[in-house]
Amino acid sequence: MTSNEHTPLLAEVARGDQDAMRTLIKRYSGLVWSLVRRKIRSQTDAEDLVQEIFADVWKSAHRYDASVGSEDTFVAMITRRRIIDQIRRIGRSPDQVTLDAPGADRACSGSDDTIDQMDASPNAKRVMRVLRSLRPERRQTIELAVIHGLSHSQIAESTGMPLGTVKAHLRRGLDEVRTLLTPQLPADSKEVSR
Amino acid sequence: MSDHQHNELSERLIDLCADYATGLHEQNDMNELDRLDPDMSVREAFEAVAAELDIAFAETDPVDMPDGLEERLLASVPAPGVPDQPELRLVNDQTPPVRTSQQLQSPRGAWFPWLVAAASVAVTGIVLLRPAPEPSPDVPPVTLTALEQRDALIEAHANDEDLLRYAWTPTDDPAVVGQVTGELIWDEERDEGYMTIAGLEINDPSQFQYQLWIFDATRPLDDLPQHGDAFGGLLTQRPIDGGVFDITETGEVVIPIDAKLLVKQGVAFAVTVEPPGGVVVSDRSRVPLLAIPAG
Repeated sequence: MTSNEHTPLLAEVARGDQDAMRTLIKRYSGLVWSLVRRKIRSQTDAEDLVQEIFADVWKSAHRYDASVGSEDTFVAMITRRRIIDQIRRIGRSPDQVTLDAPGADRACSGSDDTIDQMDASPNAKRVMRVLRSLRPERRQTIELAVIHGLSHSQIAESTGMPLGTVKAHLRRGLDEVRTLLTPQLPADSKEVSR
Repeated sequence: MSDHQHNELSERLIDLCADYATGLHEQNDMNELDRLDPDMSVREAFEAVAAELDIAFAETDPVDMPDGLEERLLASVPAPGVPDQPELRLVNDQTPPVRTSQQLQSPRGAWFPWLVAAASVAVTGIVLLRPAPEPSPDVPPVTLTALEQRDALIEAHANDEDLLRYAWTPTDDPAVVGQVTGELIWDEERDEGYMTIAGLEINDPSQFQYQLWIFDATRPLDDLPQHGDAFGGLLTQRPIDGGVFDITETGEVVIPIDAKLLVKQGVAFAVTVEPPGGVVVSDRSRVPLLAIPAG
């Protein structure tokens, strides 16, 4: 679906190149739709939100530094912010939980071979391996919160874990993923010591 | 700071950033988060991690797009001549553009510059954003009021008839408390417009707010309730959110229109009364003002 090896587009979009924007839409509309649809129950709301997200990308492209990062993460971050904003405005959909999403399930519980055989980019496979290395309860809370957009209380209800435990697993789990993906933080005063 | 205190601070920062990245933060925590992470680098690193996870799941378990969505997205790309990447932040007289924690927690705010851990770039290819260009020290920044911007837009169309100008049509909604005056102007090419309004009730933003809706002739009809039979059912469509605003004084106020989507052919506008923060879909139970073509 996405790849870090695509020809960069955001610099052209930032210069107002409509063709580049159209190419960017073709490249990332599937990703954005997947992220939005997994968390927004109403298809109409989801479609409107996708349009707003690409408008945001259009307006924000000039802030992207192509020399140091991937464009798909930039697009996904904008997408997540807009989804979160919408969820906080209109409320969450408790029946959006999909605990048995096939791809996610295979990735989280399968072997390295299973992940290797997936139709995904190398980076996505690496992220899946990191996720699979976590304790199951941390993996589960991350999946429900990050991928499906559930609240702490909804996760507690879905899993039967106490609310405080859910929060702890999610926070520590996300930090563990961050640590595993990023060996060290910048050497500043906020360095996290564990 | 002792090691013990440092550890406590770090753990707290992790908690706040993880909650922020998942959208599960409490409003009350934002000031503390701003204090602990003033340059936003840590919370944005967590956001990037969440984005990487989301991408990985989307790649392994994609959701099929509905028919026609990509075509509609492509059709919404602004045409040549539309101002690109508008950096001008309109200053509503009542709401100076100060970056607050409230804005920071809202993705609707400006796309802030952020810095992900340098190591994360090497390992995950996580993106970095450039800060917005600093204004040249030789040129003092000019921030125009909404009124000045409105006047400039009118002036720009002094010699043509391309600016839509609609007078308000008030209804019997109780928010209409006086003689309604003013108008709505809209520049289709620039996707820019302003409302001038007098005669609406001053609202307490903690109780209710006004919201503008833009009816675009190019958008499909829907089955939402409309008032009257105007436009052959056009007003039954899902309109474009034109922004939430407040009426802060009894005199005429000028409010920039903040269309959330590109308006291709705005032909009617409606002001509704909504809960604080506005809504995604209005039930249209209270529509104090309409701006529609005469006749």
